[in-house]
Amino acid sequence: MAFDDELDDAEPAPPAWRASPPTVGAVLVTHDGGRWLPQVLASFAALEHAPTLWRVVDVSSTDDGADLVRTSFGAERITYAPAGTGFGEAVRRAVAAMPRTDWLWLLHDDASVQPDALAALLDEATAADDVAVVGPKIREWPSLRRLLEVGLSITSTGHRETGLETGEPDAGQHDWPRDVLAVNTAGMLVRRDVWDELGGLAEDLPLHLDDVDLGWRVARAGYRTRVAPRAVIFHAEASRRGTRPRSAGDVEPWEKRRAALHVLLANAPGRRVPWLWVRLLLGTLLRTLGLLVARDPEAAGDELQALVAVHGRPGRLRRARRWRSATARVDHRDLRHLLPAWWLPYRHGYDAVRDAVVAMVRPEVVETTGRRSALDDGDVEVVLDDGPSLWARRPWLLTVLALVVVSLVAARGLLVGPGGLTGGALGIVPGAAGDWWRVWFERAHDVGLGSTATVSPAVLLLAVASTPVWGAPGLVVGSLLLLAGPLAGLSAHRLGRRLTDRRRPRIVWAAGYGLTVVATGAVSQGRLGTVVALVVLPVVVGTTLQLLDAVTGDADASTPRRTALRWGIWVAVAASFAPVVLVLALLVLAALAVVDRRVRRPALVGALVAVVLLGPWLLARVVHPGLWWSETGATLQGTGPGWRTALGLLVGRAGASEQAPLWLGAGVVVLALVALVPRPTRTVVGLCWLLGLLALAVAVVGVAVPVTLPGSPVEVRGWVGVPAGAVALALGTAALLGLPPLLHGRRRALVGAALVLALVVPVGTAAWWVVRGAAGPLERGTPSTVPAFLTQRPGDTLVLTGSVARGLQVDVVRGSGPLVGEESLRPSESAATRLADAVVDVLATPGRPQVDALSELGIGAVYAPEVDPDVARTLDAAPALEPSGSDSPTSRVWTLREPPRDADPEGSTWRPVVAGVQLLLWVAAVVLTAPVRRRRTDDVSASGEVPA
Amino acid sequence: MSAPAGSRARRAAPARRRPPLVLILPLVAALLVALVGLLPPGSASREGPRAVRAEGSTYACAAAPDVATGQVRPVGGAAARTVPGGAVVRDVVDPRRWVRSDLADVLEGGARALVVTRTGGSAGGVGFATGVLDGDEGGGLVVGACPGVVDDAWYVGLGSDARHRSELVLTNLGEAQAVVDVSFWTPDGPVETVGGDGIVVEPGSSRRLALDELAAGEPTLGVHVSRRRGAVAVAALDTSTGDRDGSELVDPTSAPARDQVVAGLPPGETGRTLHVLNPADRTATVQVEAVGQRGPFVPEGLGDLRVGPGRVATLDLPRSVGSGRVALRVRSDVAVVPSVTVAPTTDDLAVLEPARRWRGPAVVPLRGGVGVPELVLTAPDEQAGPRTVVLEARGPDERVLDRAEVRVEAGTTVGLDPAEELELDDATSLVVRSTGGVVGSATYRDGDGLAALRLDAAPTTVPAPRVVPAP
Repeated sequence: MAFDDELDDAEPAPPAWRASPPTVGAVLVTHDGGRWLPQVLASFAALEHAPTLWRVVDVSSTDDGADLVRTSFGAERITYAPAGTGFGEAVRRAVAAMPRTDWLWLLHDDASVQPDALAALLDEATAADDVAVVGPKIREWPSLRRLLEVGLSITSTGHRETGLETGEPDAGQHDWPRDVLAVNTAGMLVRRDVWDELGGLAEDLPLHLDDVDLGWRVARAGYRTRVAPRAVIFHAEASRRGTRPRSAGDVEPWEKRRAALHVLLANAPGRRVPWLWVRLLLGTLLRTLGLLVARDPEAAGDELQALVAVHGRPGRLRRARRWRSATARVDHRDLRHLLPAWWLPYRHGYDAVRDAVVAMVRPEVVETTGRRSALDDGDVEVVLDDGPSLWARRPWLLTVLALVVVSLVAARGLLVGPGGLTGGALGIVPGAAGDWWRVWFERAHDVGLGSTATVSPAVLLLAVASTPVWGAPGLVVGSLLLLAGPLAGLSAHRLGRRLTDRRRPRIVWAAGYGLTVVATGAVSQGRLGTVVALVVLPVVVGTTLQLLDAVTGDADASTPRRTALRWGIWVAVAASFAPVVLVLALLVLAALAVVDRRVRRPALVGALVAVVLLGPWLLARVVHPGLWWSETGATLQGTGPGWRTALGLLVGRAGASEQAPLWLGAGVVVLALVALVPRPTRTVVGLCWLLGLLALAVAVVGVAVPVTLPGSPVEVRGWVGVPAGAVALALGTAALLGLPPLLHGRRRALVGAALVLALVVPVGTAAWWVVRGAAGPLERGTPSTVPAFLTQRPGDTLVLTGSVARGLQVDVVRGSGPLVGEESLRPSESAATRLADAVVDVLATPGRPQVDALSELGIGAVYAPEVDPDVARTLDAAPALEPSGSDSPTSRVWTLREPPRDADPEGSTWRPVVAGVQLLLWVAAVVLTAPVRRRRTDDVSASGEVPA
Repeated sequence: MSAPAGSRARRAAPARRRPPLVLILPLVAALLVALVGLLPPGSASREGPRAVRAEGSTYACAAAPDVATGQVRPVGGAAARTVPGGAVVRDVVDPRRWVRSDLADVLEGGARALVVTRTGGSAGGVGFATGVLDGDEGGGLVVGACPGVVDDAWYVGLGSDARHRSELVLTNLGEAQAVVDVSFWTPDGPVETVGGDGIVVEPGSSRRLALDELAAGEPTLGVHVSRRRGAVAVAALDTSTGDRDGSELVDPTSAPARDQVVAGLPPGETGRTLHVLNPADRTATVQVEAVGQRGPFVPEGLGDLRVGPGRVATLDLPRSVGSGRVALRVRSDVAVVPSVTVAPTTDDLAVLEPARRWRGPAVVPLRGGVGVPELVLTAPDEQAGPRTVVLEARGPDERVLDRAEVRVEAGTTVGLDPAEELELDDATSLVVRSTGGVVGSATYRDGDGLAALRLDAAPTTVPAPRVVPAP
């Protein structure tokens, strides 16, 4: 204890350098820094240990900066450099014009220093002989509290890596000196002899990343770069943030990216350069694409120009590497600890996604003006208290979490286990996203008898969505199906924000809609098309409202077109999975166009966009109207007329046996009826009812009118899950908009009754969902369309169902069955007819020629799990059909003795071209919907005072 | 006290408040819902089988000294092989001619059956096993259609004791192993057999299965052969020795039914025995109606027969049935299998099975040791009106030599001597064409020999289920 006390009480010994201070030459580079210079110069004046001498280089300032420094330092200490002189060149000019000193201290005109900054730097600089560069801790100016840098490095993708969280406040958590790859030139203290040895800042890096490059070269030369956190400067980062007014001769904006590519390729180990060269090439192209999608064409152009400047000039790169290798003495492997981990860029990507998700569910009452200002609370002492509960602060976040938990509990047994999701209408989830890409681009499809039909754009969307998780597309399908409730709730809630400011009714409404989606039974039936359409439906409605706002508001002329474009895209997305959405949307649009002439033009644009994006796939729907009911997924027909179906349509049910009880949704109908009472909201509530009636009419047509699908004379009832869901959405919205004004100030009993009715939907359905579970017929396992052993055999499997008395239905399954998105692909009508005739022949006169006819269609096996015994026995009697599978009489599998012939149809050669064009159209449409980002040219006013 | 003028004026002209138009919206919704609710639910399409052109046929001939093969249309090709052995046999079948052969010669060397495969659209290839059997096989005249693949074969009136023996000839027509199940019923009830299930017939083989191997000592048996797997033809040879001799190739019944017609009872009041198998698990009440030459009638004593569950009932037909040509219409409240054994003498017998109302051509072999049969045709449905049947005499080259039309009044039975209706000098076969509504039988007599052949449509068309591509 005594020893500790002694240590605590002991005065730290003063650094040795104070006895004989080294000479320090300070170099200040100014360029239109008049906005910051008054405070910067004041901070210089307050330095406890001042530099030995000063030199200022003014790079053609056009503001009052030049006068300021002349006044402060005197004209004799100023060197004037022409416009376009880089920071490194400016420093070189200063060094050349000033007497030799032991150390050089580089300073920016937008960085003010703390009084003890230089002393603290020298403390660290003189601590060891191999320390060549020392940098300060840099905090943000104007917030002054947020950390910007405590040392620097560079990621493998060429980004400055500070190791700090975005917006991380300085609480001393990084205050220990340590070796780093580099430090910022703002406040950098560099040994003069090392400066001379290495040639100073690289000439090929006029502004950006010259500090990282220097640090890298210092490390390769065997010296160390240290960070001295006790030395603090405040940096406005005027050049990096673009807040410094641009003037003639300034580096181009793309120089920043060029510098990143250049630094990486010029300093990377030689053996890694080819790989890095390719990676950066592809990465930059991807970034360019991403920036185009984000409607940031200028940044995308910067990327391309930087790429051309670096990758297109290999000679320059060779020279840069040769120049750097001349001073290199240390192996690259010894520097690994100074470079960030390879996965760090991906971590940043994850952070970005997380931030986006958080932003989606953020409490809307917290108005923000940006991250930086949110914590810009100066030095005001914050008194922490418990505050309101989490439910009060973030009810929607908690609701979403509750929906997720309910969904996960309901999905018990489907989340983990062998195989993937299968069963019901769900096709086979492919093993990789590439399978969907293949399906999108292939000329003829490898399904059933083979098909040259046009594949649904849903395949393209699934391919795009699953590309980031390339090897696990099941994640996408599983998330869409099993998290349908939360997803639909989220999209509804976004729509709700546009509809009403009443937070709690909106949350109940959104959660109710989310659970209505699962209450249709679509999830349990594996109806991916219905689920996606109902998740997107509120977005379509929201975009329709935006369209109305755009044509009736004061928006600029381009807004209606862009909104119409967005409307078309969302409708196309939903219609790709459930084509009936297009019918619904066009009906609504037509009604709006009739009511308001101003809507006509953007409505036409939106409709055209949707039609163009859906492309040739839509033509088949025009020729065969029954296909409007054919969603992504196998054809599981809906139910016919009847009171159960009829009443279900009002509450979002389409008659599935897996649907929730009807009474769970009855409350919404009652509330929607009551919502018609208040006069102030009657118009908008009536509009909701009208939209609901429109959807109801479509649903009634689907239920009442049986349809046929191409290649099959069998009449089927359309599955009306989507229009039924639209009815529920419309009536729920009517209740949301009409009830709160009605109940305002009413007796508690009335309000309570309404609340109970409203809560029955989300709470009751959630309870039903948890008890029932999502499984059945959806399951996790191996697809059982045909016995597993048949999938390994050559040829397709003929699947027979039905009976002699009622007729038989034939289908042909290739492998385990069609992929998700391929289910609706059909063979040509002639092939389907040939198949039916061949089966009739086999069943009528089971002989070898008849079986051979099956073989010629590419069939290798017959599977008849649900036929009457007479059919099975007839097949048994057919020569060249060998009973296979188990010995059980109910096995009902026969394999052809002769190997099947390849009977795939030849697709058109232009099919891949059309697919490519359609892909480009989607990309173009998405890009065009985003507002174009322009490089900020206006000044951002800086505020904040540098503490003395 | 009077009210102010102004307020009176307001009271005098109250504002008429019309109900808001939006209230129509729920009404429209209710109408739409009611529309769906009141619409008929719709029924799944029910499309039964239809007749399609038969592209070929395969049948097995066995258990007789001779074989006759032919077809309705001389098209396509034909081939024959012995089973077992698979030796290709020529000259026993010709796609353009009627061929009669000595089956015993063909099957020399251990073969048990001749399998004929006939191809060609609507050829209607048929084969008949004919002749007089040896004394140890009853010594009777037999004429039986060579059977093709059989799904279910029901027999009643077979036996497995010393004097009345029957055997099944199971011939595998396919290339895979065939499996059949055989079940038995007696007048005392079902027989629990050992080995009746899963009887295997290897590909390319024929198996003769004496019923006494499975259910010995039963003078009267009901038998059901069910094909479980593979392609197998079933023929039943019924043999009586001892007090009464005779043999018959018995045509099977495809399924028990509640309304059937046993057609073609030849003239004679005695020696006619009715067998009824009730395979169901409840007592059947059976009514037998005779359809005679002057119309239908219910013979005394046959109005209400009761057959216990799982039992075979045997009844000598009373004289009230009459001595003329007659058909028996057997109606029951549960599905049963009837047959009639006809043995006018002690030298031979014939077995008549329920006949089907056939459409199209039925082929009847002529001559070649079996002579010209008598045709007994019945139009059992009184309400359906008279039926016309066309008779064609055909020569060895399948050319039509003569043609005649015969009218069968509704609810009557007629007996025809083809030789009186047609010129049969060079005829080798007879084709009897019907448009439906008629059942019939051909009765062959050769001295004391007696045989019956049920008239069935030649396989020019076959029923096939409707097949459509799945939606």
